[in-house]
Amino acid sequence: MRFFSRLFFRLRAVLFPSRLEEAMKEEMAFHMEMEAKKLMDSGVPPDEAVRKARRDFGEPEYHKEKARESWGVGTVQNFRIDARHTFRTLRRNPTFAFVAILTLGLGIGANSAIFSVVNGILFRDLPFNAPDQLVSICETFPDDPGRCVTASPPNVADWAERSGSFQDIGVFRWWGHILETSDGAQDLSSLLANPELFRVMGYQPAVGRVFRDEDQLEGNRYRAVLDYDFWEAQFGSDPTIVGTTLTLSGETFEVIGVLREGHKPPQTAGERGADIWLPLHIDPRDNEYRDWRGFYAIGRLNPDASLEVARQELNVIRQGLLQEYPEANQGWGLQLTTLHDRVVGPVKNTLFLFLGAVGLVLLITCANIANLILARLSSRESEMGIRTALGAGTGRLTGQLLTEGLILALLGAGVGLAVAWVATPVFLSLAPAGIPRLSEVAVDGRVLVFTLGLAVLATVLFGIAPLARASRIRPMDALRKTRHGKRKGPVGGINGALVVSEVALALALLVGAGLLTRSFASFYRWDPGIDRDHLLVVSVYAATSSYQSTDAIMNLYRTLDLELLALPGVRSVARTSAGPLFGGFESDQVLRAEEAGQGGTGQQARWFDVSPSFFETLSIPVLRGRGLTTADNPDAPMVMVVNETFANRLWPGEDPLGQEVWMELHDGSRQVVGVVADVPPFNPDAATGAEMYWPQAQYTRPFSYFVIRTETDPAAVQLQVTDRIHSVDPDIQVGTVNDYDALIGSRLVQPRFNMLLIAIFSGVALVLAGIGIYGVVSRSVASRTREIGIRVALGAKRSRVVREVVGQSVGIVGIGVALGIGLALALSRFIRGFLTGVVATDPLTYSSVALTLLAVAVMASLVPALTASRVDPMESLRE
Amino acid sequence: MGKQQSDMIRGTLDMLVLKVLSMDPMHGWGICERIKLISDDELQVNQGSLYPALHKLTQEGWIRSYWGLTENNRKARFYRLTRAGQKQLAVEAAHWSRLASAVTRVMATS
Repeated sequence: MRFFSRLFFRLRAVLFPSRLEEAMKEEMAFHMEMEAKKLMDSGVPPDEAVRKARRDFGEPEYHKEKARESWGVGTVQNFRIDARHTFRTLRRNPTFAFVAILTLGLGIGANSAIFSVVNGILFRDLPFNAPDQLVSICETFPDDPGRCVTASPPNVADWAERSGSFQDIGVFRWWGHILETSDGAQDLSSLLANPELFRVMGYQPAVGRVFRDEDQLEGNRYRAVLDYDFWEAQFGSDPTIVGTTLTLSGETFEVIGVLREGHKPPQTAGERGADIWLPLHIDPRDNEYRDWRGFYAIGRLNPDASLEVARQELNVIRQGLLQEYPEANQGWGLQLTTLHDRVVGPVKNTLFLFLGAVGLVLLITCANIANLILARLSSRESEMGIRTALGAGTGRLTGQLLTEGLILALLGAGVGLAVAWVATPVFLSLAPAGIPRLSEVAVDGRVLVFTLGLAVLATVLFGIAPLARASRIRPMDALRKTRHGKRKGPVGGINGALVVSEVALALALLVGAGLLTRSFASFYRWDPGIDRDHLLVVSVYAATSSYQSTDAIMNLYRTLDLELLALPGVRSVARTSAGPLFGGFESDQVLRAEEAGQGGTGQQARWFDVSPSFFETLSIPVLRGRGLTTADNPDAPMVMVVNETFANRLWPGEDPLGQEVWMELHDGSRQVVGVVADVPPFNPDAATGAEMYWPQAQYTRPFSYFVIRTETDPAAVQLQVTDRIHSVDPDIQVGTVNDYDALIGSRLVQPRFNMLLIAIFSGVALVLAGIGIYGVVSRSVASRTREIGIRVALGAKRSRVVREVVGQSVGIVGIGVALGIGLALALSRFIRGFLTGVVATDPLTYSSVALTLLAVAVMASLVPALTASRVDPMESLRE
Repeated sequence: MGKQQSDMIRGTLDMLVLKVLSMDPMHGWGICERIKLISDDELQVNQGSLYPALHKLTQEGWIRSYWGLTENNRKARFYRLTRAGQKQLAVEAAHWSRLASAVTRVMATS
């Protein structure tokens, strides 16, 4: 009841303030009139009576103000008055308004832009039905429970069957197919998926149907579902495509349907689409595939199931499967995460790094605005004093300052939204590939709310210092004070604290930028030990029926070697199954042959099958023994060349040449004929692993990379490679021809992006800190003009004045630097994960950043210092 | 006007206003007069501060205001007690008498 009566009263007061005001005025007038009348009746002369009535009543305005306060809507009413006052003062100080709003706008805008990215990627629901029921399941490596690989279909089928938590578990993997059309062959990105996946993800057909359980049965597998965009681009959205057939990599598939628009594969491995969806090409229940962990698994939980229960349940099932199929499952673990976490996990830290950095920029912005407001406040002390003297309470002054702050912040937020609107697309266009969900980033309602929240937060942040100052204003002092009155120099106290915190925050940001730069540089200077200039890499896949035998493949390879060598400008050509920055990671457990079968597990070693020209073409020096030759053919003894690390691990202090190596997976042995130099991995922090190379002639697969060393500009050769290979056989699948330097460049994109973004933020921070220092020092100098004038008149050297002013500023900044180093050290653990080749406490970075800030302090205070030294003593004393 | 009687005891104004209004609806000036009259001029209401108090009581829902006419046909703003106000008055009266007797007991000790 009381609540409603208050609400009613307040509403009336807010909606019709003039009516209440009117009533109040009237009843007070009535009161005084009655009082006067009473006095007159008792014989007091009329004008005396009126005067006395007024005096007894007190100041009506004061009582009205009290009454307004009691309404509780005084706040609203006062806000109107304060707002009007604020707009008037802002119009009178356009420079202040412009600087403050623009600075805030940039600070808030940068935050909103980054937040809109974070929001789109991390906070928004995945675009699937009931996305929180979706769980990504993967198996973890035997020797590395933290490392997730994909899952094997037979295991997944058993989990789904034995678990009560899941409605269904779908599996899928990417594949490549060649679509044969009348216009020639075309690479397609295809996706192999079981019918369960369509139920799990809620995929619906636009035309025809999606996969059903029977499509996975032997004999029904040559069916295809088209992606909507592919259907539109390739077939002009022709609905009669359903029922026709397509030839994919030599096999015929029937099109049974088209997925709806926007029904895309889950982005478990970055942003990647599929043109065409096919049933699994294997029987998912066939135990032969139990150790083939090549599939992403996504389950949909029952509505009442929890992730934790599902996790426990699957672990019990996993124990059972380990008993039943020990060979395939020995040592493998299980990891369940929500699909959302799986998708955004890899970029989460990066995004929080950006958000943290941009948050620091906002703090610095607020400190700067607080400084600006303080500067204005000291010139408005007499205004404040007069208002206090006239009866404005501390509450009213606080309210007014907060109102001013809020209006500034809201105007800043408006500018900020515009900035975010512009900056977000720019960010997206610059962002490196591989960031998931980028297409979902937009400035939406949540970004709006976030921005308004920032404005309020900013108001509080930059309002604290001025409020503290204003509350100390005493009316008499303020009124008495002339421009030259005794006043403590603004360096020190609140202003000093603001500069110190600005410097500290800027230093922390700069350290982050410096560390990322050093890390980037260590990547950039990476020396792989191979000559990376004039090098091209291309993958070749001879997948057709013409190349079934080893001889056929080797003949093709030799022909291609000669054809590529014949291209003008090519110096040498080599083949390899993989290499630094390209190719997969194939490894085996190796042992000294004499220790094989004794129960030892051996060493992990990466293997490559290469052509004889490989070491020469990549300029990897052969240190001992020999490289590989054409004589190392299938009829010759099985041989290999190992790298130094390999030799040192297996035969420390012994001669590796002539030794036999046993390989567990390959189930055979080879003799070491040479040792080559280590090729370090593309990570300055990682150690080189053991590697072994053997001849392709002794280990032939229809897949290989061709590495081409050119004498002339590789770009000219690059254009001809694909055509030259296709001139031998047009059905050969040729990958993108990459310039090796460009490959390295693509690896640098992410670290460069991180570095640049943080560098931009810290650059802004540096400028803001500089402005802050300048502002405070020049005000300090201005308030001391008279003192300096007297000292100059008494014979003080001008150089000494300069030294003193600069020294004072350096002193304050020094405190900020010291605090900033502490802050940066405290924050360093957040950036550790982004660094390679440099430690998070790198002294060089810290010291150079500290020196930079001190240099900025000197520069920012030099101008006011010189101004101070040129003070004309006579002028300053006369003023 | 002696110094002893000039100040209202803090917080009692609300109660006095409620009490006066419990007899008859009244305008602001009338409330002041009535308090002075009943207390034989012992209690002086600070006239201006009556109005913030009236607004506060209105807001609490204890009294309600309306425009009416005085005996001399003069338009004035009248206040009357609501039912919630009657309850509040009872509460405050009980509180006051406890307080007053306590103070009296303390002062009576010799």
